[in-house]
Amino acid sequence: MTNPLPTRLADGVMAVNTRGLRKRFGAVEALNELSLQVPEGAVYLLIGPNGAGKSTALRLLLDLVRADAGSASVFGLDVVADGPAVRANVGYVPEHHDWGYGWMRVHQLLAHHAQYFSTWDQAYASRLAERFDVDPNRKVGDLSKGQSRRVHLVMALAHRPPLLLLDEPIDGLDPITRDETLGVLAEHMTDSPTTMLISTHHVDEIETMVDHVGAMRDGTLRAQLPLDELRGGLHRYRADVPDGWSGVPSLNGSVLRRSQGPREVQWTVWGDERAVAEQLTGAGATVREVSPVSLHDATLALLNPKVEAA
Amino acid sequence: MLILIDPADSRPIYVQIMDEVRRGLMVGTLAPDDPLPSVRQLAADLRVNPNTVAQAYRELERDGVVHVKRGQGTFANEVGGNGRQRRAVAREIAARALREAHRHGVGAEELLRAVEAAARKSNGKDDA
Amino acid sequence: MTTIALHQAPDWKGVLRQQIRTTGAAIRIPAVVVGSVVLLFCVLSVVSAARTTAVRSIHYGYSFNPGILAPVFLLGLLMAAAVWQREEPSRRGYHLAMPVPAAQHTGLRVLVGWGWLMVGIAVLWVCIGLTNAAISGIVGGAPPFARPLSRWFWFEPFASATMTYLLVSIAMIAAERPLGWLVGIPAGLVVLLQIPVMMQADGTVRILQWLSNSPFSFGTPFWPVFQHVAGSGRYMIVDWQRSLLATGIWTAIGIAGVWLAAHKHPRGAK
Repeated sequence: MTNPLPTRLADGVMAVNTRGLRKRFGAVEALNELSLQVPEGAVYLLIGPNGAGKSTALRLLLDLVRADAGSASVFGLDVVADGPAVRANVGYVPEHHDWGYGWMRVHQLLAHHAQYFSTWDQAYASRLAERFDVDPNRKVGDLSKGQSRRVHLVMALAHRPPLLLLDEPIDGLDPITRDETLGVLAEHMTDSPTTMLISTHHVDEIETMVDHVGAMRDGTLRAQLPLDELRGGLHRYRADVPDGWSGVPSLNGSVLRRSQGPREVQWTVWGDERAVAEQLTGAGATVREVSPVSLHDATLALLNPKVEAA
Repeated sequence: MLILIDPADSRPIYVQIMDEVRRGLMVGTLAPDDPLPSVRQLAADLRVNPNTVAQAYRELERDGVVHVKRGQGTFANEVGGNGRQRRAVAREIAARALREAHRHGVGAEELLRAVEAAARKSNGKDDA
Repeated sequence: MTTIALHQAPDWKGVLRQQIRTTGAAIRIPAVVVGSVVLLFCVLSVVSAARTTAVRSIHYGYSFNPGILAPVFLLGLLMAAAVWQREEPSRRGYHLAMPVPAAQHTGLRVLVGWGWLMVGIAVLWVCIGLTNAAISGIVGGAPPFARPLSRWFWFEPFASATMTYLLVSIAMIAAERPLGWLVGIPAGLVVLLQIPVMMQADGTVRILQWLSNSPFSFGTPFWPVFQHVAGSGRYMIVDWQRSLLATGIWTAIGIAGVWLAAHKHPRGAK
């Protein structure tokens, strides 16, 4: 099946641009011809099942992982050749917190971090630490997943980097802190112009922040497009169909998801809304409902491994 | 006035914000020359992208619903004789009801009669 | 091209200052432990010297052989372990994600740890010097080793600790389980060296014997042999030129190893 979904954005100024990245860990192909484009100022959501290569892609931008082939740049700087300059402009929240310096107290780690970033805003760091309820006297090695996530958020935001790489930033946080984090991110975006590349499974909660979506599967992009375009092009159609319904062959390839009951079908289809509805009607179906899909449902549709017939 | 959004709503967020401001003006919770919340404040409160709020405010300004005072913020306009606004909202509600009716296999005529009947019943209650 | 004003990477001076602070904090606990042991040793030495003044012989009542300085090389091991504690290659993401060149950053941390090590040994010397002066004041004789026969004597502890520090640092930087390597390599060598002896391969045994007496021999720099020069109250390192050469060779190997280990980063790791 050819992929009907767009995987390239219109030309523009990109904060992150990768070209044909490949990375293999032993027998596992983590990245396969990955070409990410994150426009400057975007809030880009990277979705994909576990093991799709999302974390590897983010780590590669920090030169924590090096590609077997292809290249990647951040603000036009090569992530390998200009690694230090790239990292000076990135705030990173890692997925796993097993990160050395476990013997330090949190306040020591924050002071340590501050010295490495010329733009560190101490007053902001203190405010963030207070809002995230970070205990400065805890030992870094004893922090729970959620606590360490909050410390990393403080470290990532307090130097107001032009790019934030957030790997599951709200995973492991309680619902109240998750909500608080989104509020902090919204304020942060207003106060300091930031591009965000976020990888998360908590799609529902982050949906209202996002303006671009990339869907990864098996190390490659299945779709990459502005959220508006996704909303405009992806719809769910529910229709009554006559007995002995034989489908709409002309829609094959555009159907991302499908569920069927007796005399009724629901499709999630990529394509012009009116054209799709006309094709369904033309094939004898009575379209009862056309609705835009939530990002959550879009995720399920974009990442559906099954090939669906119309 | 309170601006609330529903992420599950099929309207885009910026449209929801615009509708909320219009609604405030129509029901009177937003008076002319009242300030709207700042982009930063509203984005943080709603947990939405500040660009979305800015977009809603921009479009409201273009539609003449609000005006921007430099360095002071965004303020509601005197929406002279808001009959046009009311008609637009009524049309929107009707379209939504029609879609819902179609989903259930109910025709437009049938829906119209049902609306009239329901209105009579609710008016009768109000009178009582 | 990008439209935003990019942030600058930090300057090395600030990073160096911070690493001095951070490494200082990292070695706090082992430093306190070692310091306490040394202090206790010095105090006990003075006390025992004071008790035996009646005997009026520093050689019977109190013996302060400079050989006690030989285990100082172990401080190098402690230091390397403290600098990289809980930071095996798979857990070094935080270090590597810093906005400085990774290999130089690793090298800087090794250097700072070495600086602290030298400071520590200098303090140790001062303690021993004071103890020495105190004892000679109490006993009234010549200080036990006030006048060594070669200047190399003063540097030997610094050199052997440096060497150990570098060699252990290689394992700490490069290996996921450094302890395994640190125990495994010497143990493996010992076992391996028994094979030619058991097989009575005379030629090989002769080569090994020559090697163990050569400057490459580990024993030479780590455990210099001190000799009391009879009647003078002085000590000397037997064959100090050879000790110096061996230390130089092993230090050079250590530096090269650290350089290689710092440039080999766990970039393929998941």
